[in-house]
Amino acid sequence: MKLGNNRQLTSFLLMLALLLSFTTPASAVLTIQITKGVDGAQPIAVVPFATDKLTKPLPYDLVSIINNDLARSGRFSPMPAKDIKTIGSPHDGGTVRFGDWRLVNMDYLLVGRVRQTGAINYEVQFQLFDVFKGEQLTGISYPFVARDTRRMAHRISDIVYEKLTGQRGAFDTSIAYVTALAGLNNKRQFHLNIADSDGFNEQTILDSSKPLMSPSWSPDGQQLAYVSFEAGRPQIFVQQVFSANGQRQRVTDFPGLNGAPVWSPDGKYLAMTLSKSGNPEIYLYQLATKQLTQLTKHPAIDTEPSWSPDGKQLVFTSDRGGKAQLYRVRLSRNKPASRPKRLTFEGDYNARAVFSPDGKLLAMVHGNRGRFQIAVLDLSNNALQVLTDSRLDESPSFAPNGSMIIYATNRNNRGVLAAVSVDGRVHQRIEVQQGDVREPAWSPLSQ
Amino acid sequence: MSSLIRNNVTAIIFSLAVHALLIFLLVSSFDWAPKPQLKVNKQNIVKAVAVDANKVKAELDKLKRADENKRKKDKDRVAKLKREEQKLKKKRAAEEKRLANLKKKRIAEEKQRKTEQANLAKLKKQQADLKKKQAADEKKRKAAEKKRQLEKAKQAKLKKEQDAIKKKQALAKKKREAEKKQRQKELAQQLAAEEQARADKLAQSEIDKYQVLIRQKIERNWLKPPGELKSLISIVEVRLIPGGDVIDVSIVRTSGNLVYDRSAERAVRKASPLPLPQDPAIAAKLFNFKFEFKAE
Amino acid sequence: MNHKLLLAAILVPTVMLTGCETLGGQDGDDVVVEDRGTQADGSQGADGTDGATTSGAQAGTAFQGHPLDNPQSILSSRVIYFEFDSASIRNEDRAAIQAHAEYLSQHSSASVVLEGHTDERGSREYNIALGERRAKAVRQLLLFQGAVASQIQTVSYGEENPAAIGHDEDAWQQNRRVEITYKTR
Repeated sequence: MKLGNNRQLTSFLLMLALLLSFTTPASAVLTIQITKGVDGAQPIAVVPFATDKLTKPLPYDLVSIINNDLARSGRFSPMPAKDIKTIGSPHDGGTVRFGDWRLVNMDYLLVGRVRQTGAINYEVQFQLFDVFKGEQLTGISYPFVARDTRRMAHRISDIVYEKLTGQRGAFDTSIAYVTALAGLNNKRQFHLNIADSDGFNEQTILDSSKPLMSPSWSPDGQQLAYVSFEAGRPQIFVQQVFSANGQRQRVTDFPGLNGAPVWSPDGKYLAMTLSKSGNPEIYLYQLATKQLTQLTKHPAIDTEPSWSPDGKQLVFTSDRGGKAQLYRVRLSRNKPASRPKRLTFEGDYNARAVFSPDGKLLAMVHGNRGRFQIAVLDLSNNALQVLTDSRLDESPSFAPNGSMIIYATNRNNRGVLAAVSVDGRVHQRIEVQQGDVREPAWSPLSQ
Repeated sequence: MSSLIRNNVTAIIFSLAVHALLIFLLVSSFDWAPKPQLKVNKQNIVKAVAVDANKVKAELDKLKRADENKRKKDKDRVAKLKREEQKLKKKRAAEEKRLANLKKKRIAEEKQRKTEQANLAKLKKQQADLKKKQAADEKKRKAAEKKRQLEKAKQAKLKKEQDAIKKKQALAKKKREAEKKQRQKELAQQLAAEEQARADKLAQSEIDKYQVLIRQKIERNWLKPPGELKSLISIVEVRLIPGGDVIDVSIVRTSGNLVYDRSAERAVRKASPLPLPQDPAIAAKLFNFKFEFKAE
Repeated sequence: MNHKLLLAAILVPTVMLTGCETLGGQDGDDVVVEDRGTQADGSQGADGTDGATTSGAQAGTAFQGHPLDNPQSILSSRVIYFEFDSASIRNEDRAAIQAHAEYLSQHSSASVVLEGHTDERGSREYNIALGERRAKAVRQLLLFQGAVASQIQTVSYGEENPAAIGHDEDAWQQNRRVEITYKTR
C-alpha cells in the first residue's frame, strides 16, 4: 500500500513541475528587469499657437496659461518658451519633426492655432503628440468668445492633463476665499472672493465690516453658503455666485452659534452647527422645507461637519473626549443611523475634516506638539500622513479631482493660501494681492 | 364540670375505652378452661355394695392381671412402634445414604466431566499451538526459502556483473586500441572545441555586461508616474537592429495601469539606440528580448 | 490633565445651568449690537441721572463720575483671560466678575454683551465654539452672583477679532479672552 502512495505523489509532483514550467515566461527570450526609474515631472513642449491671422488679438495668451496650469500641478515640466523657439514652431501635425523634439528629450508636444470667426468669436484647434512614439494622442477644435479666453486655456489644460495622467483635470475651476484687509482707523474690512484656480479674475461677491467665515460651494457650483457677522452675531447665508445682482438669502438666525454650513452631495441639505440647545451640536437643515434634524446630542462642542461623497456619512469635530478629535456618524435617509465613532487617535488635536472626492481620504487640521498642520487619513487602513511642514495651517479643501489640497497658512506674518499634492510630493504657493487670505474652498468641477 | 367534660371529650372517651379493654382482658384472662376433671363415666358409677373379700381380691387380681396385660400389650405396642420407628429410621438413613451416594456420584461425575472438558480444551489448545508452530515453521521455512532465493539471485547477479565486467574489459581493451588511433584524430578537434568554448564564455560575459548597460540606460530614461506603483508589472518586448536602434516596442503584458504601461514604453523609446556589443555575432543575440518593469 | 479636570469642573455646572437656561429662554432678543466705538464716551452722570456722584467736600482726590468710568474701580477691568484651549475662569479674574455681577444686580437696567475670543491656533469654527464656551463661563459666574439672564448677551468671534496681531504666545495670550461691554448702564 505505501509503495503505491509514493508513486502517486511523485507523479503528481512531476505533473505540477511540468505545468509550472509552462507558465513562466518563455525562458528562451532574455528578460531584463527594470526596478528603478526617475521621479519627476514629465517634460512637455507647448508651442505657442498660431495667432498671427487674428484681426483682434486675444486678451490673454492661451499657451502661457496652459504652461502655468501644467507646471502648477507638479506633474509636468513645460519647456521654457525661449528654448522652444530654437527647436521649431509647428502649428499642426503636418509640420512636426519628432526627431527634433526627441533630441531635447520632450515626452509630449502640444501645438495649435487660433482663428477668428467673428468680432469676438474665435476657434482654437490643437493637437497633442507622443514624441517618442511619433503619434497623435488627441486633436480637437473648440469655439469660444473673447471674454472666455482664460477658461478656454484651462479647458485645454484639463484635456491634456487627463490624456496624459488618466485623471480628470481641475484647472477650469474656481476658488472661494475670505480676505481681511486693514482699513482706515485700524478697522478691518472683510471680503468674500471668487477667483480662477490660478488666482486670476478675483471678484468680490460680498463686502462687510464684520467677519465672514466658512464658505462652502453647492454641488452645482452656483451658490456659496457662508457665515456672516454683519448683524453682530453669526448667521448663515446662501448666495448665488454668478448672478448679476448677487442674490442672497439668510438661512438661519438662531440664538447662539450658526456656523460651519456644508452642502450635502445632493444639494438638498446644509449640515451646520447650532448652539441653540445650549451647546454646539450638528444639525441638518433641509433647504426646501426649512426643517431641522439634530444629529448630535452631547454637552461637548460638536462642529465642522463634512459629508462623504455618497451622502451616507458625516464626519465632524468634537471634544467629547477632552480634546478636539474627529468623529463619524452614518446617515440613513438623512437621519443619524449610528452612534458617533471616533476616527482620529494620533496627535493631540484633529479638526475641520474634509472628505476627498473619491471618499477614501480625510484631510484635516492636525495638531501635534504645538504645531498645526494639514494631514490626510486613509480610511481604508487608518494610516495618517502629515503633508505640510509649517506651524499654523488650517482650512484644507480638496481639488475636485482629488489631486491636490488647498489650505490657508501663514508666511511672513501674513495669511496666504498654499496647495499640496495628496501624496505630499508637490508643494505650491499661491500668490496673493493684499491682505490676509484665509478659508479657501475649491469649487466642484464645471458641469 | 360539664365544661371540663366538653373540653376533654376525646380524652375521656379514650380512657373509657382503655378501661373497657383492660377489663375485658382481665376477664378473658381468667382461666375458664375446665380443670382436668376426672372422667366421670356416669355408667360406671360404682355403687357401694358390700362385697366378699375374696371376691374382692379375685376381682382385684383380675383387674391387676387385666391391667398387666394391658400394660404388656401396651409395652408390646410401644415396642412394636419403637421397632417400626427404628425400621423407619433405618430406612430413612438408608435412603439418605443412598441419596448421599447419589450426590457423591453426581459430584464425581461432574468432576469427571469438568476434567474431560479441561482435557478437551487442553487438547484443543495443544492442537492450536501445534498449528501455530506449524505456521511459524512454515513462515520460517518460507523466509529461509526466500533468503535462499535472494542469495541465489544475488549470486546470479554477481555472476552476471562479473560476466559483464569481463565483457567490458574485453571491449575496453578493444576500444583502447581503437581509441589510441582516434585520439590523435581528436586531439586536433579538441583544441578547436576549447577555442570555441572560450569564445562563447567571452560572448556571454559581453552580453552580461551590455545587459547592465542597457538596464542602466533604461533606468535613466524611465520617468515613473506618481502614486503607489508597487505590484505593477509591465513587460515590454523590443526588437533592435544593428546599431542598437529600437524598431519595435510592444507591451506584451500590461500592468493594468495604462499610464504606467505607457511610461515603460516611453522609457525604451527614449533610451534608443541601446548600447550593443561590438562583435556583430554577439550583438545579434540581443536583437530580441524583453524588459520587465517592476517598480520597487 | 489639568485642563481636562478644569474643563470638566466648568462644564458640569455649565451644562446643568444651561439646561435651566433653555427652559427659561436664552438671549432671545435680536437687538443689534452697537458699534463699540460709540460706547461709553464720557457719559458721565454729572446730572445725577444714574451712578453715584462724589461729594464736593473732598476736592480733587475722589473720582467724579460714573463708577463704570472710574479707572481705579475694579469695574474698569473688562477683559477676562484664559489658558489655551480652556474655558475655565482663573482665580485672579473672579473679583472683577463679582464686581460686575454686583453692579448688574444693583442696576436692573444695565446690560452687558460678553464677547468670547480665542487665539488663532486650530480650526476657525471650533474656535467660534470655544469662544462661546468662554463667554458662557463668564455668564454663569455673573448669574451665580446676582445678575439676571436678561441682562447678559453672549456672542463669540472665535479667532476672527484678535486684540493683538502676532504669531507668538505673547499675542495669543492677549487674544484668549472674553470682553465685557456695557450696552446699557
